[in-house]
Amino acid sequence: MLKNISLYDFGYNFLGPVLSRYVSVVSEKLSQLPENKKVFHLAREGYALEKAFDHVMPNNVPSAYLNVSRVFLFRIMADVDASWPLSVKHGFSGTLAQFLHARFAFSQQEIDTLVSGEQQEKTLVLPDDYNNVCSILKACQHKIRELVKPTRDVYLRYLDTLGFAHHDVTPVVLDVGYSGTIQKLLTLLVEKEVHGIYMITTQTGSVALGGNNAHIDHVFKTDVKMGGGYTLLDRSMFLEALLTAPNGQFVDIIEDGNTNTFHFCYGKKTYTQENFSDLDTVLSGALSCVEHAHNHHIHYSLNDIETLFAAYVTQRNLLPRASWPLFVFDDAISGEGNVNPLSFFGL
Amino acid sequence: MKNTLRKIVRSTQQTVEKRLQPSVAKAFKHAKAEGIFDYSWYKEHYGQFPHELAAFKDYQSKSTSSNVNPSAQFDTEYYLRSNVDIYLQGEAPLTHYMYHGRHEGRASSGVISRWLPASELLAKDSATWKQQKIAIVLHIFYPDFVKKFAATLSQFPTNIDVFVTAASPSIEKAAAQTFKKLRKVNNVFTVVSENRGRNFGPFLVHFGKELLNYDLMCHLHSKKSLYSGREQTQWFDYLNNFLLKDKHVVKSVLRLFNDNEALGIYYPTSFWMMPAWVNHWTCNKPFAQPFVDNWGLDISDNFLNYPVGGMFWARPKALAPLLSEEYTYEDFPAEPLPNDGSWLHALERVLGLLAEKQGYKQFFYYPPQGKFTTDKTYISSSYYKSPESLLGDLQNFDIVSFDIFDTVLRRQYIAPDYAKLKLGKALVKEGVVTSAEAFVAMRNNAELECRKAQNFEGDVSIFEAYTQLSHALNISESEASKLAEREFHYDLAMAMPKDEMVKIVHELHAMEREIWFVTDIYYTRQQIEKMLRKIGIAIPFKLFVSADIKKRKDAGTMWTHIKSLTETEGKSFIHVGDNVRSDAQICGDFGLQNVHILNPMDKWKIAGFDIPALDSEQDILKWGPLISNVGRYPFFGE
Repeated sequence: MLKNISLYDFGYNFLGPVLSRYVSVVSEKLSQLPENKKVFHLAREGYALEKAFDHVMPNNVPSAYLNVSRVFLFRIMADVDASWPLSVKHGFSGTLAQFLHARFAFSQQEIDTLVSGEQQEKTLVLPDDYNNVCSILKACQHKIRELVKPTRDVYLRYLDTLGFAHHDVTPVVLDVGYSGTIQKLLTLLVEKEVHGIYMITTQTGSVALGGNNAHIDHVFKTDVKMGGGYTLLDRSMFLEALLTAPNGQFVDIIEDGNTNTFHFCYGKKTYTQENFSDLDTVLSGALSCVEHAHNHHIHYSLNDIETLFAAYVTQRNLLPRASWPLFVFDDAISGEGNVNPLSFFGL
Repeated sequence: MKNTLRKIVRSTQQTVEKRLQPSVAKAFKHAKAEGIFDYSWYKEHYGQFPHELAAFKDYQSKSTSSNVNPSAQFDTEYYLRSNVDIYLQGEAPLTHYMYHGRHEGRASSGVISRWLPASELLAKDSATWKQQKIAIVLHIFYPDFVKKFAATLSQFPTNIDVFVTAASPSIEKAAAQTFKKLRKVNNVFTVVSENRGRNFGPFLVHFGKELLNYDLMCHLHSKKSLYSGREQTQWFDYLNNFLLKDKHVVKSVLRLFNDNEALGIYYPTSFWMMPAWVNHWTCNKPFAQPFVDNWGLDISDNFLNYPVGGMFWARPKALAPLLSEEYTYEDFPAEPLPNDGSWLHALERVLGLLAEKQGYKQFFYYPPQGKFTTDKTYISSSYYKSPESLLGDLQNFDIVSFDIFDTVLRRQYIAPDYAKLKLGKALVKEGVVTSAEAFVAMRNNAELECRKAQNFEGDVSIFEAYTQLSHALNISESEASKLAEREFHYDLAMAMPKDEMVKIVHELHAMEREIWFVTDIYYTRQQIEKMLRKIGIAIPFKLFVSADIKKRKDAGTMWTHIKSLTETEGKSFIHVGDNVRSDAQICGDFGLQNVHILNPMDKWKIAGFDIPALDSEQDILKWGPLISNVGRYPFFGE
């Protein structure tokens, strides 16, 4: 096994056409948006998207990598009523304490300050108990605010330094997909219109959030659901496992006391992140494809990328052995822990 | 109560069988205790059995010819491929491994996943599957196959009619008498055939139209080969197992046909011990032209799915254009027929294509997984080999010879003519020609003219081709010579190593194996040496270039030369190359060992991708690198 060339060529073929089509269509879509736009590549998939984006439009549109995660936004907005439809409705089964920990990353000590021990042990099933949970959050809204507001203020200052929150900037977020939860939460947080262009969306269109709109757009496909037979979405684990930054999930932000900078805190690293040089080799191959396609005006059609993707994710022997360990990723929101798509799909 | 009684009967049955066959019982006990026979695993893959011993005996019986596995701990195919003497002696591989093989240090392995069907067909029970009208069509050349077929048909799950074409009156008589006695056989129709048309001719002449009255037909024929002085029937046994004999498989096939009108033809995946290239057209495409003309078949692919060995189940209406024709024996080529390359070899290859053209699907059974599928990429299972395993195969020879292009060297954009196109574009800029594409055509035509002038004997060098081209371009011979060098340098710039193959070359050299390179190409010896240096081959080697020594692999003249050299040196020899004809089949015809590796285009196609036209520079630039990357390692199992 020649790991480096194997991973490089695999990256060229598997990720390259996907990234090439995505960034080339994004660049067309950006030209339709207001002049004052700025692109934000959402963590962690944004790490690769940013590099591909820079190949296609190095100077035309300003862009930045944005440290963000759903759990972090759920937490710093846990006292905001309008965020609850996004943070609470997602399926869950367990005790209230387990819910507050899993969904908002509250520590046991924090949970003790919010709800009584008896309440903590109450079992709930979401989304059925949505109203019930909202009532509990409402009852301790002030205490939650005391816990989360300081971090929210720091994060808002971080967004301000990036230009995201600036009044004359139109933020455009880029990510793999699907329902735009992070974009919607950011729209609520900064109280302004936010655009999002994803590979795949569950629903494209504008969503009103607290008086502002989140405009959601797609490049590959919309109106598709997980398990609905669309391979790019059903087996998107393969894509997500490779499109990741070298660090774990973004969990917190700390403002430096001496400078106007911030410290970013990340969670546990996956195998891929611990062995990032391998993933970087895959990405180098993919970016070489993006650059080659851009330089020679090569366009990969949706059918091209769907065919290439489907072949690789259904035939174990097309995936080089060197790539197998890379297909592990942590699924924090579902609480499933580390998932290996090769095993998951019986390859 | 009924279940309890059944358990008691089965347990008693097993106890009796153990006493009657103590050696089998002992082997079973050992294999089970060690976990290398796993009853649950076996049932999960191969159906239900009355008891554990029955499952073990089923495995023992099949495993001499078929790549079924007894558990996740033992790969039958790997053991028999690694220890061909066991295969040729017809010994049960697991017993041999337990009692002898492992003590002798023979190679063995846990189950290897060579291929996984992308989809699976599951047979459903119904009230109607037994009502299908079935014709079993047998061509019997060897008399002892009458009993063999009868033993199988006596266990058939539904009523059948049997059609027999016999090679002699005595076989006909024996077949008629034997088959009529079988409980499941309604009618027997027999004829004595002429020795023409092999297994296909006789039934097409005598029974073709009649078969159209049936829902399903199954065709088998007696098949043997002689090897090592012993009759080998493993190929037949493999096909017989998964066409007629295995109850679970046969019932599933009948149920699947009954449940799914779209299924038109069935056969097990190609016999695993055949050369990897058995699903290639080899030299048979020209013989298939009548089928293209008459039935509108598309034969553009190099590899194809077909019932290798000519035995299959089919819905007769899926083969209606073939069966409804009127035939006489004179319609078939006379004996003796070549080993390959005839109308009959082409007919065998077009059966699946014909069923598809009629609107039906082909489906297959893959024994290692015990699964039915319509996934046609099973061809890749023959080309599953890790680089370590390839090195292991090659290191047993004194001389290891390699083809060069698409074997150790890959082109960045795959298309061999891209260097010519690049030169053409440069010449357009320089005002020498007006169209790059027209230049490529002129350049290729010049080479063809040289070949014609030599009556297609020997070979033509790039400089000879450009000397010829100088007349058309109205340039001097020295200017033409410079253009030849420029074309070479465009190609050189795009030459990349097939990294795993280059590494294997170096490793073999380190093991003190002699390395030869043998190539059919218009470049000179010096140019090829430069190319090999560019891709990182910096070891001593012998180089045989067709344009240099005027002998070609595809004409056989190169192999005559190579064979005489190896015989003079008294050394063992093996050749590795990607061309099915010149590197494998023709090489083998000269008695030279060889390993066929996949050409990048073929690997791309077998992986399930469409082959792009590559007739424009945009297409070359778009698809070339992707195909080159997939083809870098020439097997599956990178």
